[in-house]
Amino acid sequence: MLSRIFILTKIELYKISRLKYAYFLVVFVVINAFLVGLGSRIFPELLAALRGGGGGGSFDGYTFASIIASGTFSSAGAGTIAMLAFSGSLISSETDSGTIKNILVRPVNRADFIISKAAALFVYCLIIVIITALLSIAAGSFLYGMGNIIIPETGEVFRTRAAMLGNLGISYLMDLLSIYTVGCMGLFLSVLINNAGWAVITALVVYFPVMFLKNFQIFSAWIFTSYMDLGQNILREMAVVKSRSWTPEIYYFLAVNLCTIIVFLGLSLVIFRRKEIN
Amino acid sequence: MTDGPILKTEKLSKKYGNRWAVSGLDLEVPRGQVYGFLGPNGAGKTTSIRMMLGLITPTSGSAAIDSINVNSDPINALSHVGAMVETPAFYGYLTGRENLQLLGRISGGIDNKRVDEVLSLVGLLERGDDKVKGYSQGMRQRLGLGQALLARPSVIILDEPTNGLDPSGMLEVRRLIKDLAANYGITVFISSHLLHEVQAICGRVAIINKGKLVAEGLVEQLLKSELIKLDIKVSDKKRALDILREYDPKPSGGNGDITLNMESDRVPEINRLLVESGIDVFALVPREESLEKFFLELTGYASGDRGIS
Repeated sequence: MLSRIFILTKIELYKISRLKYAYFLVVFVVINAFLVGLGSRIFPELLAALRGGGGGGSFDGYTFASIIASGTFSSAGAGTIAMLAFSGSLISSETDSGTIKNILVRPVNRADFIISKAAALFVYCLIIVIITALLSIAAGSFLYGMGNIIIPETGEVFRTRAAMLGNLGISYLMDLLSIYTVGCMGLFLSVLINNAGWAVITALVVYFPVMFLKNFQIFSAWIFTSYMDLGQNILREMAVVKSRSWTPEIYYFLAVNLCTIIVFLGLSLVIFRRKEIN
Repeated sequence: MTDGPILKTEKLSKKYGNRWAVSGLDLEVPRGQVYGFLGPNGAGKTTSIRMMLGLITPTSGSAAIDSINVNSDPINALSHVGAMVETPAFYGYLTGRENLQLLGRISGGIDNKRVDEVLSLVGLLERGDDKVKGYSQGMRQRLGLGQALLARPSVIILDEPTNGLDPSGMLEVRRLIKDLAANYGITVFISSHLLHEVQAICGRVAIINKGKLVAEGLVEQLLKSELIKLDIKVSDKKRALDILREYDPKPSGGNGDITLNMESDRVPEINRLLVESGIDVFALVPREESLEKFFLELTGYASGDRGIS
C-alpha cells in the first residue's frame, strides 16, 4: 500500500511540476514576501504593524526581526490564499476535466489516490514555505545585516543570531502546518465540488467566515484559524520582548491543527470512496 | 482466468431519484469478441458502463469482470480492464507520451517501450511528444484508445469511441477495434448509438432502451429473424400483382418493381408461385436489411432525430 501511495504521490508531484498555475502561486507568495519586506523598510507604519505594535526601537536587530517576520506574514497570508486556490482545484480539476476517470478505471484504491494528493499538497506547501523563508532571510540580511541583535545604547546582546534563526525555523514550521491545514480544507471542498472554478471560489469564500469564527469565544480555542498568526507573533514578540513562553499556545496550535487535518482528510476519504464519478 | 464470460452483469440497476436509468440489466459478454452495446442517447449505456467500471455504485445488482465483482474487489477486477468512458480526457499541459507514461505507472509494469508500442498502434508515434492541448479530437480519441490498451487488458470497454471523429477517423478506429479482437484476442465491449457501426464491427449485440435490455444475440441472427423487403422484376407486372394480391403479405407496386415485405425463407415459394402462373421472373432482389430497422422497431423510434443514425 505504501509503495502504491509513493508512486501516486510521485505522479502527482510530476503533474504539479508541469503545471504553470502551481508556479504562478509560488511566485505570488514570493513576490508578496518580498514586497512586504521591502515595504517595511520604506514605510515605518508597515514596519510597526509587522511588529504587532510592539513599539519602536532604533537598532537594526528590530528591523532584522521584522523583515523575517514579514516572510512568515507572507507565507501565512499570501500562502493561505495560494493554498486555497491550489488545493481547491486539486481533485475538482480532475473531476471537471474527466481525467479522474482514466485513473479510477485502473486498479487504484480511492483512498490511496486521496492520500497521495494530500502528500503532494504537503510537499507543495513545504516548497512554498522554504522559498518564502529563504527569501525573507536573504532580504533581511541584505537590508539590515544578520548579526546578533544588540541594543546600541548599552551594547547588550538582546537576542543572538542563533536564537533568532532557531525561532525563525520553529515559526516557519508552524506556518507550514497552518497553511497545510488550510490546504486540507481546500482538498475537502475539492472532493465535494466537481467544478474546479467553483471549488476554488468556494474555498476562498468559505475561508473568511471560518477565519471570522475565531473572534467568538466559543470557537476561538479550537478553530485552526485562531492560530494562523502564531508563528509570526512569536517572531514579533521575540524582537521586542525579552522573554515570554509561548509553550501552551504552541501545544494548542499543534493539537488543533493536527485534529483539523485529520478531520478534513478523514471526511475527504469517506466522501471520495462513495463519490459517483459521472 | 476462467472460461466463463469475461464481463457479466446480473440485474444491474441504477436509480436516480424516481427514475431508473438502468433496470435489471443481465449481460454475458463472451471472450475474444467485439460486443456491441447499442441504444439511443439516454438509454442507459454510459450509466451501465460506469457501473461495470466501478465509477458509480449500482442501486442493486452486480457487475463482474473475469468473475471478480467490481464493487467488492475493484482493484483485482479492474486489473483486467482497459477503458475509455465518453470523451477521453488528458492533461493538456503534458505530451501524449507523458500522459501514457503516467497512466502506465498507475497501472504498474508499463515501460517506455510499451508506451511507444501503443503510440505506434494508435498512429500517434510521431506526435507523441506534442502537448495534448494541441491534439485534434481524433488524436485525443486515438490516445484514449491507446491508454485503454496500455496494460494489455483482457477486455477493453469503449464508450462511444468514434464520437466526434470524421468519417476517415471513424473507419480507422473501427479497423483498429476489429484488429484488436482478431489479432490480439482482446474482448472489446463497445457502446454506440451508431447502428451501422455496431453492424460493421460487432459479432454480438445487446440493445438497450430506457434502461432495459430489449434484445441480445448475434447480429446476424437478429437480422435473420426479421422481415425482408423483396423487389421483384417480372415479365407481366399487372398479372403478377393480381396473383400476389391474393397472397399474404400484400405486394406494393408503383411505376417500378413489385415489392413484398416478407420472411426471407419464403422467397423460393414466391418464385415458384409466379413461375407456375406462367410469369417470367427476371429478378428477386432482397433488399439488405439493417440493424437500424430492427433497432427502430425495438426501441419504438420512428426517425433518427434522437441520436440514431
